[in-house]
Amino acid sequence: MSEDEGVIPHPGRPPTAPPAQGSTESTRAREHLANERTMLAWTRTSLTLIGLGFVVARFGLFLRALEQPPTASPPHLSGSALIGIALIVAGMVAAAASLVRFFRARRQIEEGCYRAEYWPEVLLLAMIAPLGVALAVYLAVNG
Amino acid sequence: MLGLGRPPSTAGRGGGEGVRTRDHLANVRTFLAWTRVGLALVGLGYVVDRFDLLEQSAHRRALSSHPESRALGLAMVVLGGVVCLGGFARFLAGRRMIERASFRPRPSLDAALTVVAVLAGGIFLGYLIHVGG
Repeated sequence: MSEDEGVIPHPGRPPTAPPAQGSTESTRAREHLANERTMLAWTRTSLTLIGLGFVVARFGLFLRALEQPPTASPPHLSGSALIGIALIVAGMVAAAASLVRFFRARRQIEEGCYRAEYWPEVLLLAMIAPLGVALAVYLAVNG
Repeated sequence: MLGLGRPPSTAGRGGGEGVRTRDHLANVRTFLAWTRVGLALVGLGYVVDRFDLLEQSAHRRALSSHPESRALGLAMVVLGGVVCLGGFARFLAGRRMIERASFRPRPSLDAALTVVAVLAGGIFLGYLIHVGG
């Protein structure tokens, strides 16, 4: 192949020099890929929340089953079951919020005007903080 | 509020809109990674605490033979919460630095977490030896 292949642009690089402002084609692709990685990080986080909720709810149930002497299981939910279910719901809400965030960011990247919204992060922390406090109080009190 | 308005025209670190977008998205991922570390600590603390109760039931004892494991579990849950809050503070600081185009990495939080992790590992090891496997 000859050195002179000027007609074929270098793969992944725009044929002309990129402008200082605004997205070029190659940065646009990388922005979308970064957005996708962020979406996957959100998914991992919500799966962590769901897994933690499962462990909290099930472990409480397991301990109750081992109680000596066995108590008749009350009809209401125990504290650990409530916290566990709340953690699972928080994971589901985080997953839904991250999907909304993903599509909003996608559109903003296409428009070349990313707004750096942070309501999903605030929502996540607003869900985790009271649940963390509830779990700590539950462990401290329920011994 | 909550970043819903238009960004200032001077936003970014001078690499153009695309670089600013990727900086923000990387900042979000870092926040989520911190949150996962915090949640892992909370989960581990919970399991440490409950395993002591499980042991109590298994040996049919009214009182825990290792009350320190309850304190260890609770401390880990609280530490997990602190890590989540610290990660959020870092996230907000990162946003401001990205918009002002003056990102200064501050490894103090990372260093603190590493020190805490090593200490916690040591305490865990001591605890396991003390409990006897």
